[in-house]
Amino acid sequence: MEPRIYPAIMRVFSSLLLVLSFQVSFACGWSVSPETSRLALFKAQREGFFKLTPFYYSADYYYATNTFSTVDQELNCLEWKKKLGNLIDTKDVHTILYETDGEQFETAYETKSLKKVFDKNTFIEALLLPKNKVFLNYMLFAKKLEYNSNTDVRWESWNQIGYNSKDHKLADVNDFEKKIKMAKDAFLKQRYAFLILRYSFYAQDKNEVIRLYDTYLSSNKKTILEPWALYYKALCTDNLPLQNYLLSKVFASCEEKTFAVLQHYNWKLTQETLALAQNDEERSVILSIESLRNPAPDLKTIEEVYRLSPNSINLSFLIGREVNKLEDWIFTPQYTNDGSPSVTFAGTDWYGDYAKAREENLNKDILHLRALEYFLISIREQTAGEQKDYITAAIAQLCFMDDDIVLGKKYTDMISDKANASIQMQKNIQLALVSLKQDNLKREEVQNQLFKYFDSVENLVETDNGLFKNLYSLYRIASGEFSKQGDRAVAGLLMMKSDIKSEGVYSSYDSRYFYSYIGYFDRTATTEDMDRLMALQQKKDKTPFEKYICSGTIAPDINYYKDLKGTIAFRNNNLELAYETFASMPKDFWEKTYAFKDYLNENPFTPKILQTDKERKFDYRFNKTEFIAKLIQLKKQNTASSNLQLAHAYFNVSYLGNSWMMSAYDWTSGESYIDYVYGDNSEKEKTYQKGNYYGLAMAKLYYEKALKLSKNNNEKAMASLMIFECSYYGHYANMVSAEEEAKNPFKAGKELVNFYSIYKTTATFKKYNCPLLHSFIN
Amino acid sequence: MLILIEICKYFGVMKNIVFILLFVVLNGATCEKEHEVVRSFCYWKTGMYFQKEEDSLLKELKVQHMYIRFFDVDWNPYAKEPLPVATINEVRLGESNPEITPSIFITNEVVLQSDKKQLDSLAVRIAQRVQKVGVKMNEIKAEKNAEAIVYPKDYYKNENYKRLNYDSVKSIELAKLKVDFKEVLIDCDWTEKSKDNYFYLLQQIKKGFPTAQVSATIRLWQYKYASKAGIPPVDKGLLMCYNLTKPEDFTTKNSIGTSEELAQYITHDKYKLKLDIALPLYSWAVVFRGNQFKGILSDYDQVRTDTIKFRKLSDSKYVLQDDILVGQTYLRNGDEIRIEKISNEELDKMISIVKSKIKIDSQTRVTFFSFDKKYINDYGTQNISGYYARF
Repeated sequence: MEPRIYPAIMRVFSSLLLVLSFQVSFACGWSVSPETSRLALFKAQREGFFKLTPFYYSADYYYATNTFSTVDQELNCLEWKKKLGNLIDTKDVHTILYETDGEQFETAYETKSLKKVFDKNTFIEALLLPKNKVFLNYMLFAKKLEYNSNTDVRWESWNQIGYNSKDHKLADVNDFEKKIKMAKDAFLKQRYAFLILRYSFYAQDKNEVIRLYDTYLSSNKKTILEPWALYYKALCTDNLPLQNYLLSKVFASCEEKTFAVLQHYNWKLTQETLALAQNDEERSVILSIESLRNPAPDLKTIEEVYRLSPNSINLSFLIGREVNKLEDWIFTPQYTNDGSPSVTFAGTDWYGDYAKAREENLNKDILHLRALEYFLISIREQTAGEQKDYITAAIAQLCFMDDDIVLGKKYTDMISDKANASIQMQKNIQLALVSLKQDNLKREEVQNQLFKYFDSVENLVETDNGLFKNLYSLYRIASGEFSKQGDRAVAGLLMMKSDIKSEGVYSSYDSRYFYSYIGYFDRTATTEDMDRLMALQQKKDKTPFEKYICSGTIAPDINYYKDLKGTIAFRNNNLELAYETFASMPKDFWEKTYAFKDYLNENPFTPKILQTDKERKFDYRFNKTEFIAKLIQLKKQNTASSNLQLAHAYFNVSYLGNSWMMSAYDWTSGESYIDYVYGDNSEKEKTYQKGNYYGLAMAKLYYEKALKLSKNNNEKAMASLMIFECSYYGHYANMVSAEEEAKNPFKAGKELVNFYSIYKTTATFKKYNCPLLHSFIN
Repeated sequence: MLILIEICKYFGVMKNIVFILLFVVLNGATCEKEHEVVRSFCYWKTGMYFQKEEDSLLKELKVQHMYIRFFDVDWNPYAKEPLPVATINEVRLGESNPEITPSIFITNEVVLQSDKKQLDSLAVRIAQRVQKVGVKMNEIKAEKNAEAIVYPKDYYKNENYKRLNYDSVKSIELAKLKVDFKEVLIDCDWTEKSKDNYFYLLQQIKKGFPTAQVSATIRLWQYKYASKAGIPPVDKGLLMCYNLTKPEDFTTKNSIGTSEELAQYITHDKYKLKLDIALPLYSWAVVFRGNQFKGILSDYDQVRTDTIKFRKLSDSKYVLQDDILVGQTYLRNGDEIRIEKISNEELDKMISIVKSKIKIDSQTRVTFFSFDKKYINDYGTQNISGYYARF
């Protein structure tokens, strides 16, 4: 009997990987793990892939999974059923062998309540028959051994409380050899031998492990115990090529040990290991093992494995890995903010000349893609059944990556209707890609068909959480295609959907707030896009597609969108539209939502730059509607004083002002969390109000107007001073290096000279002149 | 109150008379009720880290007492002796200061399997362990007191502030605190077969707590068939008016315990032990897709707080607005989540049944199993206060 130690370790291990793959914040900024950002669309599977799950291509050491093969366990249960009679249900055997801890069994045995505790369990009923007493004794012994190897006991010590109070009193298990000898039944003899072999392994008695295997297990290949035992023997073998060879035999003959085999396999001994193989099949397994964790292009092994074993599961799996590698190298840079594949190799120069390296790598990857594609096309006709469908799906996927949609569609259509569910799902993903690339995405029937494809993948997620990655990737690509066809409303929602799927978990940290609903649109949308988005939000009878893309993504409050629409209009200097939009919102929206009241709380008509810290009051009740109304009114007045006020206002809505949140939702783009999620926004910010946000263009314009129109020296002094400030900050807004500055140094204009001469007697001068300011004229 | 307003409208002139009448009625009602029970809660988790929210719930509910599970004792089949399990990690009560009764759950297996000698030593070990947990609890309290003394509020703003030595302040504070429980509760579902051993154990435990009372839980069947189950030799009993061990076990309606069931057990008023009362306070969330049951959410706090993912349909019904993975279950947009609990009416009936047979006075403790902000919020503090008041 095999305890549940291995799957338990695997589970812990994989959940650790899962934890590690979540979003983390490094000291230098925000980042997601490469495995999280990696794109993958190809996840077709063949029967028998299950045991290979940990070896899917991944940016982590192993691919994290939520499911594990139980084939070996089922075989073991079947062996018990064969031994004790056909009336036994293998599910009951499974319950006792794999779902009952040693202690529970021991307690029930001791208190003579086995029958009661495991009520209606046919396996227990059989074990309790007098003729089966030896089997019951074996089970008890096995469970005791299991208890002894279990370090996670619940018992505590009477002497201690708190940490380290665990008290593990071991069960007494001795005289192993006698137990084997006493067992008359060959079935039991072998099982006792296996238990003791495993015990000896952990006791580091290598010779005993080998002796027990050779004596009791090597000759009987009909039991699942044989490959399990061989695994321990392999690890006790000092000759490393031989160890590899034995491990490869374990790999080929059972499912449970595949992960363990790969962990213990000794690399760089390929030829020595191959030399021990007896036939092509064995050679193909060794080569497959060698390639299963290879992150680099490896068409050579695929070709070789095909030559040795053309219909093998391992071959299909390696092909799938190769497709996933190409997806990572081609798609991940294309569709993620980070812009580089999740796996990069030493020597890949991503930092020197990024654009050049990227192009070179892409060319190299495309060549590799085509080589793989041609190879698969060349062997396709020689394959049959599931293998053929699998390879057809792989070819289709490669065609899409190479942008050959017509050929991709041709191969997708060749996938037989009888292909397994996983290949059918792959077909649906590929049909979705065809539709996204070729159809008019505005048409309702196209959208609803897309929803059907999406849903076919969603329906399989519960049984394979790995498909979250396919959804994440598919929605990213879909978002890009909708955006290309000008539907940025749907594109944004799909992008959010993709992000939700990339996390794939129900986390308390992902609760959405105001900005998470508008982040994408803040970067991409026009006011017309916002209108479409609002219409969709309000739509009562949404189509299945619309309903789907809106769930979890659409803002719960239409005013979130209105605020963004008004802000976009304001950025575009369309004050009328901004006013109309803000006016349709609740007056207290900016007091209750987001961080508006923390950043919009000062008088926007007094330039922040002229105020000392003590002069700043944070008690201004800011209302966007009223603010825009005042701007419109001031514009209409077009007097010196109104232009001066306008100029102050535009100064304040720049990143230097006290009301920057009128123009932006995040002060400056760079390394904030928001930028990490939605992408850097600096270039867009530079365009706000014709360059006012960083360059103060509008503010300067109105100060100049005020200066021109004013008859009042005090006003003129103020305008002159502020023109200087705008020029100064405008100059440095785009200046990034000392060399540039040396070539094009800042020069104070005539306004500052006038400030220090013509307006020297004004109150404004008296208040604001200072040696530092004066130094600019010298 | 509504009736009163109506009366006033029509009989403005008779206002004074109405008030007098009302006074008589209210006064009459207070006269009828002679006592206020001792408000209590059970705390059965393995760690207790109360923060402001829990503190304010205790305050709001005017909870004066708590049964806190200190540890369990189970039979280890390999060592063949009773061993402690699941000892509470920490008891951190925040600002609240209810009276505490350490509670120890002992499996029936322990009582059945142990010989007299083992029971003797078990009794001594229980007393020692309660003391140890008590000391640990006081250490936490002392740490908190010492922190408040060494680092008073805004101490860093005071330029002349001189910091006291934390360790010595802590040891002084610790010395002030004594482990001095007034009562210890032993919880065991003893059977007719284990009765003698169990009662013997209780007597030995009593010797280990010379200055404290010892109480024992009484399950419903032990109450009904008192002659068969026997009356434990303790100072008080805590009658558990429900049929359950762990809240997560309950998937069917019957396992919670209904008033109907309670009435079948509380059939007499002749129990020869002063009884405190324990009532169930549970709730859980059940997920349905269409009419199909999908599973139980044991941790469903987020259902109430995340108004985006969960749209509220009614007080107890929510609909999921997104696809989410909870554990291994992939819940889909449109799935319905129902928060289920024993209804107010049902609890009212249960209280009436208890009151009809068991003597309630101002010393009687009424405790709810168990303290969890999730359950308390589901029932609402006002309702729970109402249950206490109903006694």
